[in-house]
Amino acid sequence: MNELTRKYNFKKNAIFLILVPSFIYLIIFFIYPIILSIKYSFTNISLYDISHYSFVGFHNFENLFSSSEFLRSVYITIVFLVVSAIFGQMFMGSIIAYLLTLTKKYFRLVVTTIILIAWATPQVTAGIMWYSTLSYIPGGTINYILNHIGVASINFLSTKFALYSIIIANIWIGLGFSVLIFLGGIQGIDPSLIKSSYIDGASPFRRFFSIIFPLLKKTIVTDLLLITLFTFGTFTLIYVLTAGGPARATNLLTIYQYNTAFSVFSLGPANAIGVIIILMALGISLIYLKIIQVD
Amino acid sequence: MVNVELQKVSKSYGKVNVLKNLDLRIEDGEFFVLLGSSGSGKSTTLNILAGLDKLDSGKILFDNTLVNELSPIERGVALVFQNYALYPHMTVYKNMAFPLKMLNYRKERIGPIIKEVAEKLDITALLDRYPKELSGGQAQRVALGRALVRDPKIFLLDEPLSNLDANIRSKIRNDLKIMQEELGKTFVYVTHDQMEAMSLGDHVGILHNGKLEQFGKPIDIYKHPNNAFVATFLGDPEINLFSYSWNGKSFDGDGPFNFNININISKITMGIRPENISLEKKGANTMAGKIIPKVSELLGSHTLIVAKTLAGKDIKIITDMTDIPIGKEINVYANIEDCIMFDEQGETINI
Amino acid sequence: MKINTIFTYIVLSILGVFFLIPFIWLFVESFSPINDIGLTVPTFLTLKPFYNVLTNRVFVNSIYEGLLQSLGATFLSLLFAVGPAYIFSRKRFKFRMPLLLGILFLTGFPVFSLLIPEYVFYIKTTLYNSVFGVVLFLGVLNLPIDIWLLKNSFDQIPQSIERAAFIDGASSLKSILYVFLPLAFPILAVLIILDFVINWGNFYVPYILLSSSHLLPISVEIYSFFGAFNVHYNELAAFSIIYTIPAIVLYIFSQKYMIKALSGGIKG
Repeated sequence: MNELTRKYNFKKNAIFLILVPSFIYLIIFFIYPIILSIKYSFTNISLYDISHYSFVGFHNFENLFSSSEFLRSVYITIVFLVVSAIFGQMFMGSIIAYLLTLTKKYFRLVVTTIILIAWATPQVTAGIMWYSTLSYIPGGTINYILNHIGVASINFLSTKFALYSIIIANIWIGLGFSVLIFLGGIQGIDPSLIKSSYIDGASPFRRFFSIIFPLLKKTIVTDLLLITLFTFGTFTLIYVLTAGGPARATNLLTIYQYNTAFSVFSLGPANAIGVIIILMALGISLIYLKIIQVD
Repeated sequence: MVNVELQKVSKSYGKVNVLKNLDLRIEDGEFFVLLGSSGSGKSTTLNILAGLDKLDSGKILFDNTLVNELSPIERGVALVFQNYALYPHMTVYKNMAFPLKMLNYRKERIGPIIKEVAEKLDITALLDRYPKELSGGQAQRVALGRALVRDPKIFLLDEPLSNLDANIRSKIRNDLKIMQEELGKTFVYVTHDQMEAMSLGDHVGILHNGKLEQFGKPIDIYKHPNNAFVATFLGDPEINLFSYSWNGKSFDGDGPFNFNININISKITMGIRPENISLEKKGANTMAGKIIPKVSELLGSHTLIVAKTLAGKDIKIITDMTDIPIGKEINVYANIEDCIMFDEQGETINI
Repeated sequence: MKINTIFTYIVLSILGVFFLIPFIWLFVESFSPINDIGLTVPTFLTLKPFYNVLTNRVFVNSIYEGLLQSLGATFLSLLFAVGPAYIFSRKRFKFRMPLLLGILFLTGFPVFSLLIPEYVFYIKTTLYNSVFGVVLFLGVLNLPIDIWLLKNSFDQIPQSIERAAFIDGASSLKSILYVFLPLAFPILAVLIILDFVINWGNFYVPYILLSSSHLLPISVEIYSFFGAFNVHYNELAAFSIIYTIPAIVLYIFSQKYMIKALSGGIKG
């Protein structure tokens, strides 16, 4: 390589330097906390004194997996994920998006906008709104309606019903994203495929399951991955609405982690929960990526 | 003004050798056309000349100076893209000013240059428009204008007519030729269209599978192709090819004529262009035969006959006559001097 | 067929009504003279709750802090997203795929779990309880998805345009500035809105990383108000509406472009 070539190559490759500030930024504020999280999960660091701590091996993890409270939290999180994300948002979202494509333009616009407004509502507001709407004493909107049609008030935020309530609230806030993605996907399908199914005499129901659903496989997987991860990371809505209660009935892992750190001040176990959350998210992502790759 | 030389240029993408030891010399101020089908390596050659792609080995010389490692600007080349590649978010004026802005020209200096170039190309009225408001021909002129403002030494044009409607293509083709003569700059023009190559090129290079099959003036290549590939590539309708073999007395094959030439190969391919076969015997015709016309198409001043030889092979003939009896045997005549003979490898045999 | 159609309209209408139910209290209460967390139909309507909120210095300051932190973080995310988006879209190099997958992983990362180590890190580096610290962390959280979406948008720009810029003498930096960014303007606008709304809606980052009350953005201020003793619920509702409307309006305006950007999805 002569001098000229080297100069040329440098000029051509100098643009890669543009990555440096972005990567430094990502490393310091995103990657480093991940490493810290892993590190602290093996220590007994406490909020009382963050400068002095010692390594305790897998002690935090062992404690967690033998704690019924933690296992219950994992169970609640999984139920929340499956019902809210997979069934509620993904499955219902795709059907609603399909039904919307069958309706007239202005009707579709109105319904889509309403669903999207819910999605756009900040989680703090949503938490407060749902708290009031589900309120038992004094009666919120739903009990107000129930009373007017002659049904006795229900305590939606009681131990018995709270998990269902947060699932409904989360579907309410998350559905818009799903519908948006599926509407885009369905509208992107070659119209001649749908037309030919009309000619073949397929019912709308059949059309959805035998033509649209398979064609949207990639959209579905992408959507499912994002929704599952979003739902998995849900904190604010539930924190405002129930704060994990009553009697820990809605104690999602995120809320459990928060309370471990800031109510019990045990940063070591809190970070261990964080690591478990990260590993679970990684596992979910890998499963989905595998599904994409299989195709 | 500059002459361009490629010496043993090779380029491969992964395992595909796109160019194999290509040698090429383009003279100062000429209109050079590089002709080839898709995948022949013609666009790669252009990109290498432009400095968009690096070559694996070999040399590129502009006026005997090595430019392998120089950027497009340092080489002084301009490239007109197949789809013009005008910046969609800029007006015509800004599109044309862009190369000058990149050279840090001041506004006061840019204005007069654009004005001059716009007048030369007759696009002054378009300066405030956006690319999407231009017709194909206009976009083409703007693309040329953007190339012109920098006053480059060499113009590289990548199939610039292929995106235009057929009806304006020939007009733009003529404009290009006139413009090149007025500018007196070296043009390197890449196309797959043999008509463009024949009508535009001072010299034409025919590229096939990364190798230069033939280089020369269009008419010389047309009349004296090096091989059957080149013979087939040039000419529309294309040359008729027939298989012949020596039967002890003469060459006998699936073409309409039998002939006798002094050659020590027994199997040959005979090629004859459609316009070199006539339906009437003229003075010195040395060969005669019969064909059965199947279809005749009137192409304005002349007629194209698609026929079969008695051996059942397709043959195309161009003639001035209009009343062609379809389905009946008719006589055809030709001169042996107009035929081109190829050996079994497809190389031209000199007789 | 007819029955199916009617069924479709009925189902979707019920759904639409159901989706509006939670808003009923918010609107009724915000114009109501009575404090009630449940639903009471007021006898008359008043603008007093809005007036009280907009004249309360603490609330107004929290709006200002919310704007400052959201916009600052949006600016940071976009600023740092441009370079990687360009490189990933236009250059082919050895570690491209692993790095891209890394960015994808961060896009879906359960960021809440990082708040606790980040909190410790911030206390040790004095970034704790500073607006700058909050802006830096909010900014980095949106950086991966911004890189993705901007890269997808850059992918749409034809190679010939990029090559034309190169032939015209633009360096990579100049072609980003003069060609790529202007051509990606629609997606930039979407990203500004998306980032802003996400940051505006973010509660837990400032909630955990800030402590001084005069630094709290509107999301945290509303929560504190909600949790306080003897709450004026009509003012809370009015304040929530003021907080919520910008987000909704921005989302609705950009939804068409948002579908395009998001359904581009995940491509190498």
